[in-house]
Amino acid sequence: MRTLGRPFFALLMQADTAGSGGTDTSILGLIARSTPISKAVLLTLVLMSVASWAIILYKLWVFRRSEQQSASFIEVFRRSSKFSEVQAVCRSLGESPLVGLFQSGYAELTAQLRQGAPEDVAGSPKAGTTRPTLKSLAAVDRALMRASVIEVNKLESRITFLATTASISPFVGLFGTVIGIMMSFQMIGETGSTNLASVGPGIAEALVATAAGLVAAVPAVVGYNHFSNRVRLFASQMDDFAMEFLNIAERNFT
Amino acid sequence: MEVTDVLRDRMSAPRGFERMLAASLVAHIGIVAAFVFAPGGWLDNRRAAPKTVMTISLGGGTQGPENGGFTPMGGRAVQEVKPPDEPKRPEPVRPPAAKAPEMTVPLPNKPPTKTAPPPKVAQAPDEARGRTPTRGAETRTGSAVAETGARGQGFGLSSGGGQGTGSRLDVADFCCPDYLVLMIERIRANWNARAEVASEAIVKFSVQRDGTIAGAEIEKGSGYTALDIAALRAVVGTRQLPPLPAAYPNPSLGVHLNFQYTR
Repeated sequence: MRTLGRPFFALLMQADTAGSGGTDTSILGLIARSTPISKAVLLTLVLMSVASWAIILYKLWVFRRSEQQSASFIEVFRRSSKFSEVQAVCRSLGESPLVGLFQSGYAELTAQLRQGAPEDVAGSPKAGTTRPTLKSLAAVDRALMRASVIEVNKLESRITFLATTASISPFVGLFGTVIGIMMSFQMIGETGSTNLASVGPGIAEALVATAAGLVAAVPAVVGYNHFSNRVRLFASQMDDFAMEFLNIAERNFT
Repeated sequence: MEVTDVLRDRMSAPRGFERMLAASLVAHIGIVAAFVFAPGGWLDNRRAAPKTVMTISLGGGTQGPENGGFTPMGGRAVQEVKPPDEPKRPEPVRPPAAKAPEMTVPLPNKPPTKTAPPPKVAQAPDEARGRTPTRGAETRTGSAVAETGARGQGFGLSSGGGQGTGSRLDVADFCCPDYLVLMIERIRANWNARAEVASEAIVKFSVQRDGTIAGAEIEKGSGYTALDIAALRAVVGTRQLPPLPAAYPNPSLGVHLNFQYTR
């Protein structure tokens, strides 16, 4: 059976949302309306982020200069035939950790040689007819080790803060989130309305804290790994230099 | 110079940390300021969010529970049942008919016989006067009585129970259903639902605040160019609607009309 025409219309309508105001659900609006605890958490995270970024920038700068100066120092050290010449350039290449090692070893060397031959001027390994000799090479080694410890400590300084930031800032953010969600549930209890519109902003605001914690933590983790690795490279470079220095001292002064 | 003195001299870390701290602070302040003064839409994706869609179906045939609801057809009175035919009576016995005359030669001088003029009709027969003729002795349940599965909306429109796409009401946040009814009526006046094939086309357009129709285009074709053009013509030919109701706040109203062709 054929029914009459079946005119069928369907209407899909969409309201253009342009120009319609309403409650501010942007991130800033959420933060502005958040509780003091959330604000304190966010502030803490921002400060940690500021500090860790400052350390990252500072260490990048310092390490780059150290590497450059170490390279030029090694070049000078291998080219020159006298320790006194090398000692002269130390002042201008003070950022390099190798300079610390050299100065320390040189000081020990000078002290021993001066003790052994007070009339002879130290610092010129191949000078003089009477060959100056070292009393104890082990003492020079110890002086180099002491310097090496100092230099590594200097390189490692402040990097621990990056590790701290990396590990605790997600937890600080999580704390803010948990507090915020607690408040939201409390609000459900007070108003008796489980309407998502009344709970949603609170939870969204709470989640901002976790996001901030992650934003603070990720660069700190990356920076920490990067700088630990570079400190390791510096340390091996210093070991290498210490052995080279000892070899030269042994060759020339014993 | 003693080794210890040398080491003491070397202990101080290189300067420059304060400068980097200041740089970091400035950078953070800059980023926060960028968040604050960023143009809207950088930080929230509200513009990209799917728009709320309201689907209303108007019209529709008397097809039973699946297709009930606010249909003009559904509002019609149920047609009355034709009374049963008279029982057949036995034919009375009648004398045989008179014998037909033999074929004769026509008289050459006979005047032509006059045929009676057709009777004057004072009134058209009932069938021609707008009443749908009854097709047979059958009882049909009109949709006015049937359970249609329709959900009322409180304003006299209800959504269809579900036939095809677009017949479901998802969100009802347009203020003024009577405006929609008017709009549908006007567009339907320019459109013929009958076609050789059953298919549907969706036409997208927007109604400006002053009631003009703009930006009409085929959103989903029916597969037949002629039907698409006919649907588009219905929308474009309407051209002007009454201004949008004052209770509707937005500058324009986007509409996706579903034209369902039936055989």
